[in-house]
Amino acid sequence: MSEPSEIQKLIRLKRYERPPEDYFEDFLLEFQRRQRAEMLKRPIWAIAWERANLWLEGFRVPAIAYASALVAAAGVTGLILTSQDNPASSQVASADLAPSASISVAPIAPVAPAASGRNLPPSYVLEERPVSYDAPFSF
Amino acid sequence: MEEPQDPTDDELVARTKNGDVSAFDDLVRRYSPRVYGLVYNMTSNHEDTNDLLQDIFAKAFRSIKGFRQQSSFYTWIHKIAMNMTINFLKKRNRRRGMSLDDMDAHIENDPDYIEATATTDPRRETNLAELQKRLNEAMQKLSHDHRAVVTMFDIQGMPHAEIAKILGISEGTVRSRLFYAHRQLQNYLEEFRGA
Repeated sequence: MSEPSEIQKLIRLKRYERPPEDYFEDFLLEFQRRQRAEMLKRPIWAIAWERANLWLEGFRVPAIAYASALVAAAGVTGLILTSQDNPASSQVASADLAPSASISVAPIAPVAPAASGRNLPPSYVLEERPVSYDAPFSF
Repeated sequence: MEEPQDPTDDELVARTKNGDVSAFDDLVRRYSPRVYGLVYNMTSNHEDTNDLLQDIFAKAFRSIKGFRQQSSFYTWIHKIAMNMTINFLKKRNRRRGMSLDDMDAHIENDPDYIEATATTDPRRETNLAELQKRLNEAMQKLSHDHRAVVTMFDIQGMPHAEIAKILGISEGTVRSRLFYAHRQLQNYLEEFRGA
């Protein structure tokens, strides 16, 4: 490096402009006082967030695990939202299908027993003797 | 030179990141004199320097978890200090008086001081206060960018590469700013030159 010029020599004299000896200890004390006060004034959410981070750090979970957990959480949320949507759509579908479902499922009502007084089990077979063959009058 | 058992800056930074507040106190002890010199020679005012120094270290403490240690703590804290000081100077539109009460007595042994003051030329028979006053005035007439390189190179003795890192400019730009600043200062301090 070349010789410093006269102007540089003069400028270097400014390095002797220093505060008093005890200035830096006092400075540190003042810094500590402000720092502690600021730490105490921190909002609750910031303290909670920091503590949560520290708690998670205790598990030594790699950073990629947080991403995986986030993806998994997003997937579960999506699944829940999807399943909440499904009941509504299934109700609509069942409403559309209701007539056919009742036709196919509902049992056929049994025919009432004949007025002859016989205690016969329900039967879907007609009486073997037609009603028109009975005698119209009986004396 | 540091004692061998003294923790390194990296160790202190790591401890601070883990919540050891006293480790940051050690960093403040270690760097406050240098950062003070940087800020003071930019502002030429002790009160402003004191306030800025508090803000600089408070900001560094708040930001240290984001410090990825791609540069040294030395560079990082100087970068914070320089940015905050230049922002402060941009806002400060008034010029304040400069106190010279705290001049270090060792200056009287400095060969540059002896050379600058010990002469029979009445124009150069000036006292220390007058010399410092003129120097400070001359420095204040420089732009912030030029004053920054003069402060870091001529007063603090930083190498060009370190200055370039702190200011985020090339070493060539550092050299050209120094050249221009020296020429400006020569004009301001003409009567102190040996012409």
